[in-house]
Amino acid sequence: MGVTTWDGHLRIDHLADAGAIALTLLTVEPVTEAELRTGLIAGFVTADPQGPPTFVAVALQDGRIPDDVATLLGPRVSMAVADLLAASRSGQWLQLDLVEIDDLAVAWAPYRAFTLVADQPVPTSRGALGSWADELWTCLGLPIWHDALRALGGPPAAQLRGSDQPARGDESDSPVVRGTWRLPDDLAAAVDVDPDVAWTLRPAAQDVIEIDLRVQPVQPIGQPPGAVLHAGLDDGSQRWVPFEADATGGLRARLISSDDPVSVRFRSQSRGPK
Amino acid sequence: MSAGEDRERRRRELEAAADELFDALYPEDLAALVAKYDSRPKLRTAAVDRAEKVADRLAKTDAPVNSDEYVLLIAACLTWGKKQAGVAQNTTHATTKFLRYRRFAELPLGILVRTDRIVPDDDRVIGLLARSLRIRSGVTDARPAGEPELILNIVVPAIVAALAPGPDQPPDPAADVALVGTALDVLERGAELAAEYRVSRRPVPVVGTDLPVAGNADFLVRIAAYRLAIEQRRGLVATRLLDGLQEAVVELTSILRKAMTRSTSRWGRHGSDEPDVATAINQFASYLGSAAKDAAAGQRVSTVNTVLSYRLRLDELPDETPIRDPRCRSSSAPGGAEHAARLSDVEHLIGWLIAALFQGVGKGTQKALLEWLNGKELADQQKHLPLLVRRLRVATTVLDQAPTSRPPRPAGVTPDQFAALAARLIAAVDPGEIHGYECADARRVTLAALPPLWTRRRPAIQLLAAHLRVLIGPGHSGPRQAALVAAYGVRAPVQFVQPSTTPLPVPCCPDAGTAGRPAAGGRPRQPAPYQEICPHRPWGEIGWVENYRTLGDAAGFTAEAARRQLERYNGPWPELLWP
Repeated sequence: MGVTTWDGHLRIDHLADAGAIALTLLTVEPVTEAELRTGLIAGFVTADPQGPPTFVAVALQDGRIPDDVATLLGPRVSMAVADLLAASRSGQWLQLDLVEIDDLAVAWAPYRAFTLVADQPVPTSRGALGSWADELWTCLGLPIWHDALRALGGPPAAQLRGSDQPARGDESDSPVVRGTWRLPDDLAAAVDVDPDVAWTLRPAAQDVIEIDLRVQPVQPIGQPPGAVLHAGLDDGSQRWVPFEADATGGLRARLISSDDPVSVRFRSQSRGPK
Repeated sequence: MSAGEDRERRRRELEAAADELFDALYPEDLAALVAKYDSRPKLRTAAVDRAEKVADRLAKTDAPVNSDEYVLLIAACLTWGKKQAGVAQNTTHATTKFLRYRRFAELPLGILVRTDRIVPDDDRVIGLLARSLRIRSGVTDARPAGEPELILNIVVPAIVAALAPGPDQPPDPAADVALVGTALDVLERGAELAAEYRVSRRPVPVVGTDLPVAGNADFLVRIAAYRLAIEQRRGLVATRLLDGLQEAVVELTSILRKAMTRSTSRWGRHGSDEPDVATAINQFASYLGSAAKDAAAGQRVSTVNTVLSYRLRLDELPDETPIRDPRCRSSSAPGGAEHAARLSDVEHLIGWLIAALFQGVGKGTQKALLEWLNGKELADQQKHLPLLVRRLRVATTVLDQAPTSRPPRPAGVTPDQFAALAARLIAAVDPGEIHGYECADARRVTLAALPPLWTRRRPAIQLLAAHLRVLIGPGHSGPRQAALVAAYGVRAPVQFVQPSTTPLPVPCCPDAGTAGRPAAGGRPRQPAPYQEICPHRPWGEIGWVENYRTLGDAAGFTAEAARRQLERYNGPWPELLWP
């Protein structure tokens, strides 16, 4: 007795006044919720480190849910959302089976780690692995990173709260924050890079911060990697930047951010025959 | 035909009716009766004696008992006192009860009797129950997917109590159709309100995390939203709905807090037979029921919910399920048997498989088992999965002991059903699978005969772990215990836990590295060698799936702590730890 997310009772509601879609996988278990970015909220069962999202609220863009959310929800749920938006009804139920729930849990794993991180006594510096259609992805959304972004964008006197990493660099006039972070091994292996990502935050202009990301390729064993690492700000823009070789033999990607605390996502992009 | 022959025939028919009724009762209800009369035949004699007297009395009236009412008549001759169950000592009382039961003949017998056990002789509760069942099936028929039964069992009786025109009217199909429409509207409205509230991100009163159901504030919001939807339908609220909802949530929280702080409500303490979640659900029902005009409706709705949701707990095994030495006995000499002998071995094993699966289960569980064994339950469907996994563990334990006696036909399964089922399962087994090793043969026959319950093992474990978390309740190691026990129990017939703590090679198989799901691109899995441990084996793959280290890693224990936790476990669903 009892209803849990794994039972697969999915309710989809179209809230026309709020311009949003709410998805609820019914459960009686306690839930932790987080705003992943403006217009995207997700909740996960607090005691389930492997679970699917129990709640997703997503703001509509041009009358549709954003492509990345549709990808993470998978084809069947996205289709049901599209059908609901096209129909005159405001809500419907969908029964998901265990494999469908599992796919949701696997796809949303990086966001789950981000959401449940508040309950972790020791903050991790390693991203959780998720599936992104047929690719892999992860999310860099550490509190320490958000704090750094906020501090850089604030008045010069703003101090980072005590931590030895990230540390301020000294080599230029503008304040710089550096740190490292680890990709999940499977994602790093898929794109043939070392899991360590070195990141640098540097104010580029008023309210604009440059995010510089570097990884080292592992020695190629014969053939070029099957997939390329991409990075993108999790701001709803859906823009992805590929890592490209720089002069030092490393791989590098640059993102431009406002000083809003925004996460960075990484994913593989296969070199298909497309 | 003489009067004596008529009476003789009637007696035989009443005896058959008594057997039919006993099989339809919930096992614990039947056990309460048998306890008083020492044995089922003695109970049957007493009930049939009383039934004859009632039938004789009514024979003189203009509404004599028809032979198709015999089961109902036997049921009416049973009494359910507070402490003791038995057979009516008084023909007048039994006759009155029969006349009442006759008006609710549409209700399943088990439910009719269970209601009578909780609130004896209350027409209004039974009336509400009968109507709620009709409306509930109307609602589920109207949509392919919808609210889980748990929610329908709370909300539908409340809707009927508050919104049915003339709740005490006799059944009227047209009124029922209209009420189904009303119920669908209210359910939709409630879901919408809950979503609006959630997206508005209004503060939800913080509820103590030690309350399992209340721990999910959103579930409370949902329940409160259904109540508001009912009141809205009655024209009681018009504006500022979300404010009203917020107030309702506060009220519900405080009701729940009072109910849940009863010291006996914790799982595992003496004097408690139901988990916290059941207590909370009952409070929800009572709260929703009080949306009706009638002040007593809350109690009635709560009672109806208790009866309806009792079926949801039917999958709890009775205590007397045998636990025997699970070690396999090895057979005398392998091989050499003729084909015919092997076939009879298959028949013997299938007979015992069916007997073990059905041992000691009630009607609802029987139905779920039959759907599974007849191939109507597809793999990866959640509805009965926890129940079926637990029955599988019971069955493999019984079969591992290689019983040599003739397999008994389970109570409640007719000879024809039994024969058809056995034939179907035997046909699925290749006699070449029988090698003369008793334990291995039993496992292989079980694997061949049973339709797979899952395609991926991982989410099946997660489903059972989630249900165990709710049953065990919150607490320091509750969620980790749940993860441990679920991973131990969710195994196909020829999959085992190795009692070792050796580390696994990393990764154990290609499936291990792809975020926990089979690799993309449709690459077929290469089965892991039998002697290696691999938690990713699909249903049909034989071998070790876990050891203490893999179990511990998944649950956040060291291998040694996992072993100790498993040895000490005395929580719900203990059969998951059987071989």
